[in-house]
Amino acid sequence: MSRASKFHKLIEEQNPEEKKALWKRLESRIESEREFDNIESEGEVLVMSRSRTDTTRRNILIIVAAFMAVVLALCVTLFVVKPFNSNSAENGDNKNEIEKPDDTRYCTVNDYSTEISKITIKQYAADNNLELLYFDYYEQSEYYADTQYVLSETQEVICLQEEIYDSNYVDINLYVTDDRTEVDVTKPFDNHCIKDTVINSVKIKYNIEPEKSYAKFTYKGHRYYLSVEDAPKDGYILGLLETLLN
Amino acid sequence: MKINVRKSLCWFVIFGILLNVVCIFNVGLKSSFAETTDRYSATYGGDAPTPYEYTVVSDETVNYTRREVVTVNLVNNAPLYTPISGLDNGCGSVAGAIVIGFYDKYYEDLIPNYTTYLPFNGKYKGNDATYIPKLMRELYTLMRTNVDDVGVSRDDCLNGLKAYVQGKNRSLEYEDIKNSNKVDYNSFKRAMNENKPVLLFCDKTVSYSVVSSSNSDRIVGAVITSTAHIVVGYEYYEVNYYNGNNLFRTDRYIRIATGLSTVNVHWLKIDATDWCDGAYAVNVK
Repeated sequence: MSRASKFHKLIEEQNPEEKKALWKRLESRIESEREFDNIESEGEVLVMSRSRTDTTRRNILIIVAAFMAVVLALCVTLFVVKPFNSNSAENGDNKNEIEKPDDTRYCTVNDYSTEISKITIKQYAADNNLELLYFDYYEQSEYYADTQYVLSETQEVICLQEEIYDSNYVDINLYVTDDRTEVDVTKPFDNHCIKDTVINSVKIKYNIEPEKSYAKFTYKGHRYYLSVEDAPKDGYILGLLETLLN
Repeated sequence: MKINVRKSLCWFVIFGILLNVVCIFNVGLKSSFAETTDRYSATYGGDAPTPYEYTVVSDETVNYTRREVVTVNLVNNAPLYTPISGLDNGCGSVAGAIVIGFYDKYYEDLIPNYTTYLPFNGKYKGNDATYIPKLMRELYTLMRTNVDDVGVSRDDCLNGLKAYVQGKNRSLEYEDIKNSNKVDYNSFKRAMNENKPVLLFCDKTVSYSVVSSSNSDRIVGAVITSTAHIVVGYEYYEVNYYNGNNLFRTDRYIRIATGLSTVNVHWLKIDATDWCDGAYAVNVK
């Protein structure tokens, strides 16, 4: 038996007087909950009547709004509290990135070993038939030292590093990789190289800081990272780049 | 459909608060300081994350009209040796080698038959292929690295370094320059003035890079080792920032030889209280 039928039966089972009173109350309640939009006036007081459907809809909207507020608060909390990863911070700053092919491989200290080498960049280029840039100061330099970064898995040389002093006793450090390899040791250049220039049609990112200057660029299939210390004047690194790229 | 709005709202608010608390707690655990430990083990590869994995903990730009830098450093700074393969958890041996390499300039029998500096300018050379690796291996053994546990304890590091120096018929003294929970910067400055490198035992290594351009410095702080680590301090570096004549900020750093191959020079904030387990000025004579 349906609920309405049960209710009807319950009323019918009352004594006649009570039954009449109950029906009258029921009808008056139905009347007051009937759907209408206009304001009813009850004497001096204006009352906005609402239908049962409107009330339900409003309740649902309130609950949905509350849920969205919780989700929003959660997102704000995660954004504020969680430290952001350096990769995502740096990846968002495209201005500091050399253009990279999609198959760039990232090699970290876990992937390679470093070996002190007697082979200069000049010699390495000649031995491997590569067109590499280098500072040909070997004859007159007081000191130079070479390091090779060798991939442990394949014994492939992925990076050459050369420290060399020029005739002004300026300490020059040059790293060379191919253009699909990034080695973690060159990562600090991404932070420091914030300015742009062009030398001999080569786009260069660089910065001149009080103690050290930095530059990076890509040239004929290789990436170069240059740092300079003890320079006698600001802008010395730009002069070195002109020497390198001429 | 009858919906009890008040009850539903209450449940949502409670749920939201709980969720936020759980998230804050969870993230707080992950970024919380490393457990205090007396073993130091940042290594070649292995535990030392690379710049690709560094966790940046702060990134700010300071704008100014003028900046003044005050530095007090060791004569010609310090050698920037980097680890060699095969010496896992060997940060103690690298830091020790940096100290020995520094003093070898003054006492050449510390590393026989090898000169650690460039005669024409006095600056220290980096690793070579023979003598520095040999030095590191010897220190690695003297410091009992990986014997009792992973890495090296503070006592073993200090005792091992002392044993090496005494084996070369020299003496070594340590001066503790830690003040409650951080390096006492006046003592550190004095050590620099007296040309004594400082061994720093770091619970964690949050190091800073300062990128300067005209009228602004970008200061990025990142956790560079995932385990406790030993570095060598060789410069007191203070930056005073002005707007006009108004000094509005002073940052004090220790420039360190990190002993890591990925980034061999960095700065630690001297006023930070969350990293320093120990600081010892080393005097060899």
